[in-house]
Amino acid sequence: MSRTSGTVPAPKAGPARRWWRAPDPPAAAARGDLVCQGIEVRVGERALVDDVSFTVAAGGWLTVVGPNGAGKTSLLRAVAGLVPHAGSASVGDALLEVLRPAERARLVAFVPQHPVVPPGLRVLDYVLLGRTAHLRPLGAESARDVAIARRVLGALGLDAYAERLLSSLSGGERQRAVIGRALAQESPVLLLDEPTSGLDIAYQQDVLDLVNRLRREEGLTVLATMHDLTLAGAYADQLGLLAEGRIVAIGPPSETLTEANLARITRARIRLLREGGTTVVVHLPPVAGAP
Amino acid sequence: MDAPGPARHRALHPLVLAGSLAGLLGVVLVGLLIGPTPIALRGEILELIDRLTGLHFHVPLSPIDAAIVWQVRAPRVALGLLVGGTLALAGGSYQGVFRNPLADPYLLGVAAGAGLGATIAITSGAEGATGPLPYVPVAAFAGALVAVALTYGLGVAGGERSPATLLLAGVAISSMFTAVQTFLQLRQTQTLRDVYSWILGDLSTPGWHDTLLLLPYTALSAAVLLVFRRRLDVLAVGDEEAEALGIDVRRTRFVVLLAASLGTAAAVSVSGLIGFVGIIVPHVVRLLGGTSYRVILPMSLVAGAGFLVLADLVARVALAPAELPIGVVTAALGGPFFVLVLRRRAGAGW
Repeated sequence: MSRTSGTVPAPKAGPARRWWRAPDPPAAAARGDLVCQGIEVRVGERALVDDVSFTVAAGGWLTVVGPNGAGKTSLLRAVAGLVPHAGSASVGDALLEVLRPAERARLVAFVPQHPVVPPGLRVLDYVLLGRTAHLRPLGAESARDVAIARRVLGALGLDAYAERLLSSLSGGERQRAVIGRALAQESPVLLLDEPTSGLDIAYQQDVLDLVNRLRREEGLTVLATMHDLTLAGAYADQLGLLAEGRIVAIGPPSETLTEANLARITRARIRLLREGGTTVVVHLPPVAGAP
Repeated sequence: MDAPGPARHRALHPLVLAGSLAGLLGVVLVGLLIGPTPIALRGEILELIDRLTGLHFHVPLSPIDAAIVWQVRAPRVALGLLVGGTLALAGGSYQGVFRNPLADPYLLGVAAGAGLGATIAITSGAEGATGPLPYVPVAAFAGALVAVALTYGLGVAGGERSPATLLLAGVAISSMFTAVQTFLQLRQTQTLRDVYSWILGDLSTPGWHDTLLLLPYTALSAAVLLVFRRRLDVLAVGDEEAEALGIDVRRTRFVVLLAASLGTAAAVSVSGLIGFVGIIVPHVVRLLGGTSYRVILPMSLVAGAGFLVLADLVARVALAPAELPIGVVTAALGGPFFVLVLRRRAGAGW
């Protein structure tokens, strides 16, 4: 089983060139900050996401943390244009809400928490689905699209799996294939909904290392949701703490991961330890006499 | 089915397509050459060569025999091609849009609507009339479109037109239309036989008129569905992911359902409610050719066309000079085959 390296390579000097791209460079993808203003998602009277605003600089990584039901996934789906919402999300000077799905998909790629795994689909074909937004209405995938998909598979260490059925892959391999599909979209913004859920701790690091490498080398802008506070703080350069649809705190992990802040979003018994530049969230044992 | 070269992945291999078309041509020839009226095979073959190539042989066919080949069998074979291809293609498309293996082209009420339309035409026009009524196809077509429009209009829950609510609306509309149809049928028991035989399906056609009438609808429907075949592959990952990948899911579903329903409505209005073609043919193609709609749709078109021509041949010849209703043949041939396919597929997922 091939796995991606656990080390984060230093950022490359010089102009960023996507290493999974075909040699002929396509029209430059729109680059820019992901700016969300007043995002609001409602179901009936209830606001799942309530007036959320933030900016992720191009090449930055914002991870949204919060308890179940805080609105993390709804926020991501709103940015991806998958749920009706108020407010706006834009990439560079492109307002996502006014774009057609194909135009939006060329700017924002979405990795769902529980991707559908259609039967009988090879890994390469699955990754090629990421090229959908780049095909002309009557067009089939060109040799260039296939080359892009193969480069993505190579970058993710999935070369050997190209012809295998997606349904035959392990959880970690499958998660990489889903990320591969998103990378094949060649969008400057990557949305990751719980990218580490269901993975063992080594795969969790692998996936996050991979995303980190992509954003450092290629300037990918990342917006993710996560439950594991320690991991979230270790990788993102910004954390957004979400509770009941509202941002409670946002900023660098060193500033946002405080016991006072966490007490506002969770009733879990936890303590924070500073360990070599990262913040480790420790679970406290049950209180004697409590139910 | 693995094609050489990476770019051909999930695309239909040209050799497979060519082989299938050759097979279809063979079926067409068999359909032209064989029938309940015994005609000398040698004369038939010479007649075909004569007509198709412009070479002039001495053709030993009598004018009556030649008319049987060109005015009775040929339009019937052509009608079988159009109806079978359309039903199978529409069925495959419905299965893709609904991501449901049980979907068939009659799902949104086409069959019940066409049945009601035909029943109204037959029962109201039956006074003293004999033989096929000219406006039955028009009434059936109108009924089918009304039923599908009602299903689509009513299949909205909470502002969303999800596949599940559409399916349920189709069930409801079908039940209502069938209830009215049954009521009308029982009020006029003298037309029971006509209605019943229409429902069972019939490809017998007086000359080329019906076939030519059907052609533009089926051609339009097939063209649209084939254009959308890759989008159906994307829909396989679910509405939300397909949308995130750049597909306008609602519009895609609407266009595919519209095209499939239009083709189906046109087909059943001429042929009656031929069952099973629309559900088994795409499944058999899926079993043999994989799960990609880029293979399933074109191959269903070809296989459905061939299957119905063969089924019609059995219907014409088995009890000659009497004719079996073609719906009986498709179900009798298709049922056991379908069971075999299902047994092989057990556990393989859909």
